[in-house]
Amino acid sequence: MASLGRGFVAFFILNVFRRRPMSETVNNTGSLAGMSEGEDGLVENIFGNSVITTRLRELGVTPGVRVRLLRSGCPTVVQVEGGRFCVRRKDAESIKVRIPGQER
Amino acid sequence: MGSLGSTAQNTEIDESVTIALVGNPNTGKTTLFNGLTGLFQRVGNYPGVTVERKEGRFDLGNGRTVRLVDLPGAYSLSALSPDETIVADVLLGRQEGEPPVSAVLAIVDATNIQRNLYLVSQILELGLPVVLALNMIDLADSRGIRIEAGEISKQLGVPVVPVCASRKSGLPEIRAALTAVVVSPAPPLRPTVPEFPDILKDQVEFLSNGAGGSNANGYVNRARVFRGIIDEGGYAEKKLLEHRGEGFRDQLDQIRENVSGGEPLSSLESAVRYDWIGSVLSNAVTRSDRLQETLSDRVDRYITHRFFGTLIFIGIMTLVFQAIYAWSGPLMDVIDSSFAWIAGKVGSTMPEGALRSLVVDGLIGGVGSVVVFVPQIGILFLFLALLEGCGYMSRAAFLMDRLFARCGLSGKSFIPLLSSFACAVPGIMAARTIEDKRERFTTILIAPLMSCSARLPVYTIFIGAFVPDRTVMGEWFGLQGLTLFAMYSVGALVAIPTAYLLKRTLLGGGTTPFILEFPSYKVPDLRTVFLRVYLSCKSFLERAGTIILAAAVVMWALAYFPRSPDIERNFEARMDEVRSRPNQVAVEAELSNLEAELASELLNQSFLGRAGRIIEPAVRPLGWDWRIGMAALASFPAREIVVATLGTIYSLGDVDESSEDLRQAMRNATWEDGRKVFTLPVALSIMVFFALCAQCTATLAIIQRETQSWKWAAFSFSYMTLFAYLGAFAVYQLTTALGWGG
Repeated sequence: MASLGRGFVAFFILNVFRRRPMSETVNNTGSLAGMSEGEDGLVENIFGNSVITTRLRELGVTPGVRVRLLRSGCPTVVQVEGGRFCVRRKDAESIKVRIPGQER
Repeated sequence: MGSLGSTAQNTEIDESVTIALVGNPNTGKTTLFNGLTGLFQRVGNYPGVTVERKEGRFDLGNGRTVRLVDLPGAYSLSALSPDETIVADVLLGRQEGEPPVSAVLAIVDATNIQRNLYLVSQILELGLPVVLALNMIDLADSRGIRIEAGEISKQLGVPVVPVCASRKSGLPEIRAALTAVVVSPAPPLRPTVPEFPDILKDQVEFLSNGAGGSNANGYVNRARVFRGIIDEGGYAEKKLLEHRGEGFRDQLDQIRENVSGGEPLSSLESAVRYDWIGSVLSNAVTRSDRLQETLSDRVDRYITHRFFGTLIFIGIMTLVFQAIYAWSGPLMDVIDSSFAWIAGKVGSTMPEGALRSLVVDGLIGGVGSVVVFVPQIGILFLFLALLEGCGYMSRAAFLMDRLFARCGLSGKSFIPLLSSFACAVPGIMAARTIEDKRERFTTILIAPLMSCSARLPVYTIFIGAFVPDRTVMGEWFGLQGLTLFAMYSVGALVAIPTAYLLKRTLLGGGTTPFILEFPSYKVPDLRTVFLRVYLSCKSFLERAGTIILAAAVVMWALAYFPRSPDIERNFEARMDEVRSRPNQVAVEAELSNLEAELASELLNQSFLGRAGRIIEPAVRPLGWDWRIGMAALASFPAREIVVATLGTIYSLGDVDESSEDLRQAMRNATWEDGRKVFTLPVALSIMVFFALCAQCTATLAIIQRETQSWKWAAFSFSYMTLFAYLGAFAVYQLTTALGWGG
């Protein structure tokens, strides 16, 4: 048990000090990945034709829908209507959003 | 398989009617299913896949009992996961061995009704009678979402019944609504469906008629063609091309181009369906325009937090582990001693000989070695079901995804791998929740590398006997504890590059897609939790029991035959000589010594002993003698057997891992030239071998079962045995070179 505990401590340190999302930001302006935590946006479009983008559309991420970013980083947590789910940052980048009240 | 319970057993089931229960994941579907069918369930598998098939007897209330099939959770009929493929196949009437569906009971989560109606809109197009169960309407109400069930029913054209599955309210109304749609020849209301562009509708109409669509099958044929067009590169497209021939592909591409002008068709489908859902709900639902923050969201601020979330996660996992190890201990002891007691009782009634040995050592011992894992599996699945039931599991997968993404896996692999630290069998069973086949297979293949509890006795005895009991680096770390930690880590450390390589070679294709819903936190439904624990234990006993039992019997035969009458006569003579001595106290001790020596002698010249000598040249580079080689061979059905085998080899009779006699016997063992057999490098080499080797028939049987192929079971066996050999070789040679051998 004690040895297991040490393993968990090591994992904890790794996880807490994992790379911050900022360092990976390339150009996320206008995408879900570029929003800050707690911010709302309106979906403009989803780019791509993969299993993930199909699933995102089925889950209600369609143009005009309001989304909220609950956690940034990877994976990203997003709220759409009454549903919340996490996707990898790369996939969050394929969701283009407009922040209401902000000019692009 | 076989149904449970007794009272409704007598009612004849009406085979002509099958009702399918369909809904999104996390909608309370299983709770509703359990509420409607009770314990009258049969759990099996769909042929060729590891998707669980649950069927129950459902009393319509008018003296008719029909079949209710609980289909896996699905978001859409586009079939992006194995679960959804089954749902689509069953509803579209192409699942082998499944009766046609007569009616659909669709469950909808009222707190997220828009999203849930997406699947419903697809089901309405199938032309089947549908009853909609509106679950969690009270929770929606408390969140300020007002839903008029009557208005939705009017808009959709199907009966809508508000229910609360967890409190079992609304179940009689569901029963009545289903009876009405099943009994009446035609559905009383025509459901409305979304309007797709004419060009798409015309194509679907044209192609489905060409497919031989009579009136009865018209809906299903249209749905098959529709999905075939929409699901580019998907399962339905494959099915359509199988049906119409590969030459149809060009025409299909042309149709798609005409319909959407190059836009993804999933974009068109979702836009049309969500438009339709919006108009259906416009008069039926009142809610605020803003996105709501719920209690779950506030809890998630901590649970998914980088710092606190990780801390909570570690706390929960420590508790789970503690429970698996500590709570199961007493139960396992009880099982062990009961089997020993049964073996003793049975043994004393039978005459000495091969038959007694087969029954006592082979059969009872073999069954015991399987049953002893049931407490650990039960406790593990209890925790998994509780964590799953309250909604924590997807948060755990979220927290772990970062780490696993680095070797091409995702957070979903975490629970199977963690479980494998207790026992790889339930761990591999838990891998079913991973949708992506390549990721699931990779997880299954590396799961047996996690250091399971059966390895602990091996570590205990060798560390206790050969690793000095002192501290290093000041007073902080005990050397023995560090060695144990190293042994626990070695499997996990080897698993990382193995997963990485598997994902780049045999199971190639980059990192797997990861998208996971966070359901609202809720109190788990205890009935569902206990049913899951019960069914997991039962299926473990059924699946692993048969194969491990067969392996145990084979291994027994190899260790028992051939019997040499010469040796037995020789010992019999010596025993008679001892018995004739006057001092009776000394006689008893001498006799049991002789018996143990006889067992050792017989084992040495059995098939197994001979095999040990044959492989000796191969195990010499690991620092082993033929006895260790034989003990390792004997442990292939189940690794913990090694302790008992060593006991027999060193003529000690029954021993366990805490036996001081066995440790002493091993310390005293020598080669022909008088050097010690067991040194620290040898002990380390044996432990590393056991840490990496696939010595568990139950695991291999489950791998076969879950991958539906002996090829993968053979592959795990081969690669792990190879790794074990190389690892043991490297450790022995390295530590010997460092002079640890003394």
